[in-house]
Amino acid sequence: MTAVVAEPDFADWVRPALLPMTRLARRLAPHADADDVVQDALARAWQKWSGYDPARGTPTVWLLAITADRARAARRSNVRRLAVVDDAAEVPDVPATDRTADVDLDRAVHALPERQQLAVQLHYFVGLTVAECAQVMDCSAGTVKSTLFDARTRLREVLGDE
Amino acid sequence: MTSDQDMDARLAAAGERWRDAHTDPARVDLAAATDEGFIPLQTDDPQPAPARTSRRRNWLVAAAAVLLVGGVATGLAVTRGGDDGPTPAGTSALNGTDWILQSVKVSPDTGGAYTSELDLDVQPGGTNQGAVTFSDTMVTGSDGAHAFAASYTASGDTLTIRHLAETANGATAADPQLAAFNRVLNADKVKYVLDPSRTLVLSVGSVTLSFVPASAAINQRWVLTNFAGADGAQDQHGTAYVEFDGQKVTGSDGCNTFSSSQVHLAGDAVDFGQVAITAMACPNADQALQKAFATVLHGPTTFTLYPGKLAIESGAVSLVFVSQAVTSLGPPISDPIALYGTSWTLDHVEQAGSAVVSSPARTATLNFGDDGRALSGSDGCNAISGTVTIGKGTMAIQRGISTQMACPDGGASKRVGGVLRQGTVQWQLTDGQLRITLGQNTLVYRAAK
Repeated sequence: MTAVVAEPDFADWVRPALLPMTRLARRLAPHADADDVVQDALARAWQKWSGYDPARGTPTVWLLAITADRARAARRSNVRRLAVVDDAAEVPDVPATDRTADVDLDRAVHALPERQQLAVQLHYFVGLTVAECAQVMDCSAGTVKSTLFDARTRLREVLGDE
Repeated sequence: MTSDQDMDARLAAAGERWRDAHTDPARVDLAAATDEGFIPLQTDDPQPAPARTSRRRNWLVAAAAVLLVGGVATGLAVTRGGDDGPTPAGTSALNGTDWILQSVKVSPDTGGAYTSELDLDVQPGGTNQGAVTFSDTMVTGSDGAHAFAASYTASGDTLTIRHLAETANGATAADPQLAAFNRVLNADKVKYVLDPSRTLVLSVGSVTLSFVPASAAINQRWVLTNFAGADGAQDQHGTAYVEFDGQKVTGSDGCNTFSSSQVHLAGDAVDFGQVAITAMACPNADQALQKAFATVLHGPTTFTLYPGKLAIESGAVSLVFVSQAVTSLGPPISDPIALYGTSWTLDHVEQAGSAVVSSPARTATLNFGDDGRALSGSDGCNAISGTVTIGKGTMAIQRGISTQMACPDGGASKRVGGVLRQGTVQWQLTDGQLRITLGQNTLVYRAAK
């Protein structure tokens, strides 16, 4: 039998996660429309909602894992745009030297291997703890730490700081 | 020279600055969703969806158990036969075999059941595919629209089928293939022939169903539609494909091409043998996809055929392909499963049958989930999502979350969204195009690349 579920429950459930979902979508798929990615992720989340297991993480962590998957799909299907530069332009209060450095860093981060980039985006740009990153990435905290270390090493090499 | 700690601090500072500049959540209209409500996936969907991680035989056995138990417990399924239990077929040559329907023949002398001779060739691997699988005591399968299960005994050239149970999903028995299956499955005695070319023929009176081994249906070109690897599942709309031709296989992982002339199929196992693969450098290639292909080509690997779909799996890696025949030129297709797991890009909009009206400025897309229920995409301006119930030639759309941005495109996206609003529309796959019609407006989509 088909059951109609009252939507306010789902809306209330996902609302606290909307901002981190949006941030992750913007970070992982800067050339796509973050609204579309989040909307797509919410649609998937709705279909999988009954399968959510609180023992495996908070709702936000679960929703971020879905967002990461949908952002990856969007990244492959969207026309490239100069979103990196656009993002930097949205930060008027930051000194020009920092903005230039952030653009360089952004480019280097987006060139990282997929898992390394995901770890960096979740930890540094979305602001998750290592433990939360591990839940999103479905691996151990130790793996996240080593992935972040590898990413930082790669960034230092790419940015010529060594 | 910077240290790891310096880079850590630099990333942390950049991240904090970025978060401070991005404090607005996505413009997702949850309030609108509240008004409409949502309908979750049905767990008792009578039409089993292709599952990326399950094997067809397992599904059939599970369906058989559900059907037989359900038939007794609820009376919802059609049951037939006496009280005597199933009799083992012993050394039946049919035991452990899988078959795909190849043709249906009905002669005119059917006592009025049919008005003309029917000789229906069935495209192996196409949609609406009939299939049967024999275990030692049970025959399970699909007539193309309903799953069925029954016990059987084999004696000489005769099968006796008992305890038949079928799902009921509203498909019409007027369909000649369904009618022929219905006649065979409900007969007291069914003649069967296993000829030297390994064709299985089941006949009752003037009705004849001819089957080929399930593995034969794999011999065609399959286009990758999605894959699951170490990093999770991903949709794919690129150039990766695999094409089987007997013991030969050719294909592409989206970058390098591969081939083998030593393919061996045994049950649901596929051994690709010695595979030759090019070694081109493709900077933009999906490395995860290349790894997934490498994994399945080296095995151990299993394959599962669904109507119009092929899944090739090795461990946690799964490649899901759709038959190229589904999107290539051919007669109109209205079988629901043809849309499962497909993605489309709007080509143009037709009004009143012929007039072509302007399309939205941005690409309008439409995606159907692997389960045939999830719907997502864009009308060219605002996002579309929801669930859909796909019928034969019709689909009922239940809209879910959508964005509500202003769309300065002269109403083009609004026209698209109007067709895809909540309600029932007509659909058809023809000449590789998906046509969705509501009233005077028809949206014409092409398969997404």
